[in-house]
Amino acid sequence: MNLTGEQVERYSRHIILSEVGGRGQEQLLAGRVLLVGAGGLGSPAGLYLAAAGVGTIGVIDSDVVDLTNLQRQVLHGTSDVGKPKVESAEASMAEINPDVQIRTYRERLTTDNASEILADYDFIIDGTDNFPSKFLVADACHFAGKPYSHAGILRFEGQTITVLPGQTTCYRCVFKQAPPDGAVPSCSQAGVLGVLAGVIGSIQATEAVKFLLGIGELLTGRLLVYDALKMKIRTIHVNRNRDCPLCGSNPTITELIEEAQPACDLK
Amino acid sequence: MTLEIDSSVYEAMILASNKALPIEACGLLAGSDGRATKLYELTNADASAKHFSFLPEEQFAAIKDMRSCGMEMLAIWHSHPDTPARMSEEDLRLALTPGVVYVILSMMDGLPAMRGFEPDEGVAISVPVEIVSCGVKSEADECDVKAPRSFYSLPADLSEDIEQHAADVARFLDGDLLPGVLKARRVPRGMYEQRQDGTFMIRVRVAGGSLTTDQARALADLSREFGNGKLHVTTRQDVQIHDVDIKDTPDILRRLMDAGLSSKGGGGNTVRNVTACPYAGTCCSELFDVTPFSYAVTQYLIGLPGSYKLPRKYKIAFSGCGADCALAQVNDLGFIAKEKDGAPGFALYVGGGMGAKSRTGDTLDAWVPAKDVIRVAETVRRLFDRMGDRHNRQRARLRFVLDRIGAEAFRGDYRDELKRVEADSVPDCTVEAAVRKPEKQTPPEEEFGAGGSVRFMRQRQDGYAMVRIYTPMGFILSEELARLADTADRFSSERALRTVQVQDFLLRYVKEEDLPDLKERLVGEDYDFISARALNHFISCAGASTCRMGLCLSRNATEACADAIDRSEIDLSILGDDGINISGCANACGQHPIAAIGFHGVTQRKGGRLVPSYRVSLGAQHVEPEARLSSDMGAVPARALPAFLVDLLKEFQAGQQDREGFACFYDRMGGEHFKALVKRHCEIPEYDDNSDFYRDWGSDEDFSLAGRGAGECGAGVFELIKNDIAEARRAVLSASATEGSGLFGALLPAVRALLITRGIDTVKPEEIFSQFAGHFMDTGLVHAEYRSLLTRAEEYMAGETGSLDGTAKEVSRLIDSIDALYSTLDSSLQFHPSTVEDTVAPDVSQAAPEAQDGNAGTVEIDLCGVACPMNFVKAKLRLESMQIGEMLGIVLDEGEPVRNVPESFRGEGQEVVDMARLDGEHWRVVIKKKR
Repeated sequence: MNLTGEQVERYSRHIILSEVGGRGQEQLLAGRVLLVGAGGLGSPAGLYLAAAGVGTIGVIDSDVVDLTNLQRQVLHGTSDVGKPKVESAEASMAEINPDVQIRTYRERLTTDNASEILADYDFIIDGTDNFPSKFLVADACHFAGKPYSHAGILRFEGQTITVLPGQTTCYRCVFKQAPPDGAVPSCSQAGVLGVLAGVIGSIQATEAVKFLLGIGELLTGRLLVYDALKMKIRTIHVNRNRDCPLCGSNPTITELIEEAQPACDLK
Repeated sequence: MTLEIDSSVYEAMILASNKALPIEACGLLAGSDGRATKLYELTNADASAKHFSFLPEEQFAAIKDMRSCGMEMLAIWHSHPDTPARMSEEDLRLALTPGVVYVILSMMDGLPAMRGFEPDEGVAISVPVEIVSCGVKSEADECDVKAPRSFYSLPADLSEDIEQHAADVARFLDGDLLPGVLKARRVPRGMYEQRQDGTFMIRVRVAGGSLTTDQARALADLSREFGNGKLHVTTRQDVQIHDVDIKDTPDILRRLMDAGLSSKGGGGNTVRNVTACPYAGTCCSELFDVTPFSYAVTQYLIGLPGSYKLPRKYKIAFSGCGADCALAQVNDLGFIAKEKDGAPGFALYVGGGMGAKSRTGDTLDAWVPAKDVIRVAETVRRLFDRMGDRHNRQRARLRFVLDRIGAEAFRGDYRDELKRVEADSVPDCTVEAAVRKPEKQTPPEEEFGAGGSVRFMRQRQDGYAMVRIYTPMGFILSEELARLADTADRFSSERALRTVQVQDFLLRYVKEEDLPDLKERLVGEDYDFISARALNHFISCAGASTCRMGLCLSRNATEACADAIDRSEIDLSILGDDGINISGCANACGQHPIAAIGFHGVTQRKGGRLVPSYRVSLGAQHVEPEARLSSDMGAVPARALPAFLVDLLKEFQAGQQDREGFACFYDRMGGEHFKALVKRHCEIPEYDDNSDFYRDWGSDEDFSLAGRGAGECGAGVFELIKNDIAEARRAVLSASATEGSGLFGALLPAVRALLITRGIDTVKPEEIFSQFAGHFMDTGLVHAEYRSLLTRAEEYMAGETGSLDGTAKEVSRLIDSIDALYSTLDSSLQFHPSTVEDTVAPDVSQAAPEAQDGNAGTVEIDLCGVACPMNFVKAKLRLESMQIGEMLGIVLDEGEPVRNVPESFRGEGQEVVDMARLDGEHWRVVIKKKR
């Protein structure tokens, strides 16, 4: 057992769980999770993953903190406005748990850098805020063979699904391609409930932790839809699509491509 | 007539008896008006430990002296150095003086016990003896010592043990003693907590079923004062006092002891009540009276500390002939009387028992002489102690040792151990039995009361009769028992009662000419049992109303059956000595496996709903050597049970030949005949047509197992699981390999099968699959490789009809692994997957002491002063680094830590093998790694 006395205390409430134990905590400490985006979804995910003792957390984000972010992006504080998001994210997570090694990438995830960055991680959390990025994460994870948690939020509603590429229903099985420009309102036009990001991002972190521990049932093959106004959670079974352009029997997407679609203009 | 003895005389008798050891002391008691005030110590001219005679000159001198003081000779007394205070055959033969009381003072185990007898044509009739204060104040205080008047003498340390219990209860009430610790100590002392309201039951040991009338009155008083005003006779001849407050238990134990009774060994892993044929001593067909042997074995074993720390319970029974009314062949150790060249002895049976896996005993020895009886009981006790499985309570009984090593190997071990027992000078059994020529038991002379609730029977002693009194399901009111004891004082020359295994009472030695008066008295006194009619003939366990294991409400079903019989034209005297046995589940507390007519609660499914039902088992018989358990005839819904039973009894009544027992009738008609009768009653109507069938007797709600905690739905669910697995196998066979819908029809019952063990009862497929995943996949009980199959099943349910195509092989394998897991299910609904068992040392006889002692194989960790939950965290981390099967010893603080940590380990599926208090502040807990 390699846990220090301090670690035994810090993680005692995990160790007590019969599904975790000392072994499980060691698995978490050996685990590596990448947050794509340090925004609304990435914030709660990053905080809980750091607290849980996930040993290596990568954060990729090219933006700086904006005052409008602070309504939901809890990794960052008022004094961080104007600073790169990856910096304040690193500081917040390190403050929670010095056990965690944090790697930062102050850049956008692109067709060029994706495979190289993803290669270092066990599980990817998609916390992006636009369709081209979400398709890019899905495609990149597929080609790299990395499990990931997809999520999206708008107004009072969020959705999330976990994908084990090649094994379970993927993002493109459900959504073949990005909607046409203007067909879906962006966050700046439509707004979003700040705490909604907390709920969905926390679910994503839960999936990452379960995956690292190898316990429970992952949110695969079913899309979880959360309605904060009605306070209803539904899970919709979504089957793999034989005609999926990415993971179907005759895939049409065989390498990483950039989807042409404007990003949401609310940062 | 009562003989009174001055306490000073009594003390002089004890002194003289001690002085004379090892031979018998003897002498005369003299006085006037039935009160002995003077002792004449005389020389035992025989100088023997077995008999005595006076020197004529001393005897004449004593009698001369009496006359000169104006006294008369009241009693002839002698001591028994190491046998109970009973008249041996020798004593009876030599008791030639008419008109005096023969007083015997037993010094067995250093505990004086005195009884008086008046021999009457070779029969010892008990005479009450009372020790009275001698009138001098200073001595009066010492005169409180009352001689126990009992058929067996109590262990020497009983008083100490009772005071220890009193101290435990006081500490428990102050919150100083954990309920679990109190439980571990009170259960072997014969006290169980009942299901409701923290009330308790005390089970009193009644060796051989023999109770003096004083003891019967004492029991009646105790229940009236502290309990529910009723007593319950068990199928092991014990008497139970119910609804007792824990704070009153020390007083009850003290008063039981005053009455010469004890509950020690009434429960837990101990030597249980030693039973004997209720008719022993009076039965026409017996070889000799076996009851004194049951007292002798009781007396020896209850004095051994090792009798209270066995792997599981140890049950012993004595039968006087091959009819085996004491069911020796379904006890852990059974003795059946035999003779060889005119000498008394026994055939031995070992490893019988009833439960979820019932079995009749194997022959241990075809003959042992009577003097070896104590050594045999001790030998088997030692073997059981050493070889019984202490790790698995469900497989701990002696019968599992027999199953494991085989009867032949056990006989070898027995012969070796018997030599060691002889070398350890375990004593001879000194009971002297005279072998007689058995006669045919003749039919009862008279029956009366509603449904024949009282029966007069011939007894082998001329001029005397036995009176069998049936009680409804073994219950009798306190005042009724007291009145019955008074009646016995008046009518029974032995002034005693016997308890009968079928939960009834027996009065013996009633003079034939007194029978009309006795009948008038019983009928005139308006006992409940006189009017209870058919209910008197049933033996029923408590069932789901109070028992954690119970599945069906067996007592309610019993009452419904009795009502139906009372409304019919059936005369239950056709049953003879047989009763009708009903158990609430497959555990055989209602003894259905040895019943001529037996039922046990199960559930069936109809249209996805549960139907409380009973399996019918018929035709058991216990006559040597063809003892056999009952055979299964199929199941009837609980609601159809009364009608079925009435039809069955009507057939028996019409077809019975020559007062034959039901088992003979069964053999004549053949099993198929009764299976067909069951079939006629097995129909379950649709819920909408008659929802009563979906409710148990006495319940307004649909029968369900949902909401009961794990383990609460009992072993009766086994049937249901078997049906589900069988259905799954049928479906997988009939499904074509490529067809998804058929395979789903196989998966659903397979996945549903085991959910009932977790108290889950649902008809919704989605829930069945998700609960299965949660309870069996996530816990590792079923291999994770089947997850993808479950996912496919979910997809199938979501409408993707092709998702199960081509998975037939995988579905079959999943059914196999569910079936394999089911085969490890024990009767408390815990699974014991083989991965755990494989690592346990195969030689359990060696592994067992390790678990108890914590020797070199145990890893130790001291967590004194470590608060919750860090103590558990640290202990758990240590356990993780260990191998399955290894032991971890943990020292914990009193209070929260010792309350929580063992519980947490249990919750994780680990085994807590020992908890021992080190001092007032600390405990040592031993955990065995199971997973």
